[in-house]
Amino acid sequence: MSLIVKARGLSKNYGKYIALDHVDFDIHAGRILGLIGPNGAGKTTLLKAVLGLTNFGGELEVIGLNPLRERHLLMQDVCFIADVAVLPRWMRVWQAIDYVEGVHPQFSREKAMQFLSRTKIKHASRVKELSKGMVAQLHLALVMAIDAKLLVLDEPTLGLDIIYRKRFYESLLNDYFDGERTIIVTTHQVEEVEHILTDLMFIRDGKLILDCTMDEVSDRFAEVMVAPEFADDARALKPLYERQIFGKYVFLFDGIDHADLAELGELHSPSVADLFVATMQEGAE
Amino acid sequence: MKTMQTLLRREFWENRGAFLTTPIVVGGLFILATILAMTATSVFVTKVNGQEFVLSQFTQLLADVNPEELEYEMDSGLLALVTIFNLVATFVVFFYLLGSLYDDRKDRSILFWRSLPVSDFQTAMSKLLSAVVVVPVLSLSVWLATALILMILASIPFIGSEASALEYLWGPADPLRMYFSMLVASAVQALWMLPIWGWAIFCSAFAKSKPFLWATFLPFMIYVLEKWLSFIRYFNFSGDVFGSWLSERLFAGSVPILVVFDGDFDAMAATMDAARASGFPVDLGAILGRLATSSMWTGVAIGAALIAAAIYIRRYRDDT
Repeated sequence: MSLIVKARGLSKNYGKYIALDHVDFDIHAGRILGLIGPNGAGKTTLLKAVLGLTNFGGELEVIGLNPLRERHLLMQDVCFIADVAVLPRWMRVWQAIDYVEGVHPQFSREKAMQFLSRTKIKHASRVKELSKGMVAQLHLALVMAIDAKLLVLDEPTLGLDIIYRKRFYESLLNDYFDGERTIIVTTHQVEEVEHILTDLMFIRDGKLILDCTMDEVSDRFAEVMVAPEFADDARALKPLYERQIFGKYVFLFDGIDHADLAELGELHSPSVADLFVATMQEGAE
Repeated sequence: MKTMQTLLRREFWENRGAFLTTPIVVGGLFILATILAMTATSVFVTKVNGQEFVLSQFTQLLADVNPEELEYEMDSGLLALVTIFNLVATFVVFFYLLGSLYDDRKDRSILFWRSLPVSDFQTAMSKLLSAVVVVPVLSLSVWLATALILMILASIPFIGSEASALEYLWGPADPLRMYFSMLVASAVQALWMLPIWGWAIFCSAFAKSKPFLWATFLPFMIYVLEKWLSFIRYFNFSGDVFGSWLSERLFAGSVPILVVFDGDFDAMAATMDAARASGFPVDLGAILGRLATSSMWTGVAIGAALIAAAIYIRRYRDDT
């Protein structure tokens, strides 16, 4: 499996503030990676380094290129949607299509038209006349029509309503992802992307605190619902996190044999959101 | 090549109002003023030096002027008109360049532009080419259309008189020669103004906000500073190095016809007299002669350095 991103000792600080603290990771082709972290954890800085939008310390290779020095070459194979509504407001829809077609050798006008035909977006409209959701649809249509190796989405659905958000991820999965392309996505709406991810990365205070596949997540972590009388037994196994629900205790364990846990109570795979909260709290203590 | 074409189209889409609508408005105003003047006053009665002439007398007056003089006067009229278009274009270029690497940072659309395989060098070049090629060509083309419309309007009073508009107007006036002379002169003007345009591009890449203030206030402060230094006798400093350099640069660069000015008004007057003698008010030889001066090429070098610095900032500074 080929390596898309390789980072060794990746660092970045803004003055005294450390945004990325010697981070190492690999991202392989054909994965959908969720990069999750609280505000200010370094997610956006990490993505900006990968996209060549900011300088950094340490080593970083994206598709074999140095993103900062070779950004314009990199962008032939990498696409990104940085935020909703960064499309230039004065631009008309047909101009956006003409423009991307003119500068991007891998752009397919037919594909873009096909995506747009499923929306209510008119070709003569200016971006500023479109709703937020339509701008996101347009941007996605432009990006999905590019045959790229890596797609980076930084909070792509911020400020969109639930219908647009659902459609956004549906078309991403159905029309774009083909098992060979690689997608990195950050979002606060973890539960909406959880089911499409193959890999998971948690970041906090500039450090990676979790970097594994979703399969590993369900092998490693388990949530057990325990009756109050067994709570102390569960605590003895050093859970990451506990919470109470309907008078029962829910414990989250890392790396404990699932067979042992099954004796304590009902076993579940934790949701990414619960896992996130648990791991974030663990470090905060 | 295809990328550069696309980038230039993009600049035109975004700045259509400044690039095309502005000269059209200027031309429209002239045409409107001419029509008003023609309808408000009787076109068949023309006042010359307070004396009233009917058209037949006026053409008689024209006939008395020798033909070479008439050619020169007609072309001077065209030059006066084109100079107004040129001056407007110079302002358009300045303000366009001040926003060129700034506006997309302000509205964050830079994230979209930089998500595509276009280098920052190509981006900056597309802005510079728009400023020094697209703006002058569009401005001169609108001027040419305006001049032709004005000449058609001016032909109307000749209808029904024995005088011929061909003889007195269309023959002597040479708008096409003026058009091509001004294209060449605009190219020389662009090179002459490169340090100023480079400064505008640099400010637009450098300023976190208010590029206009940076671009104007900083040179003004340098000017004040050198004036102030000159009052301190100890430095034995004339106090007018930067100020005179800048004012000469701006005066000669304001419109293509003035690019012959090299700080010597007498020499410029001599050049204009020579042009009058030749029968055409634009002396292309003298304008092209500026290319052989060192001040031209030091200016080009300064401009190139400023643009290179702007590209460096755009590329390596994290503005998002």
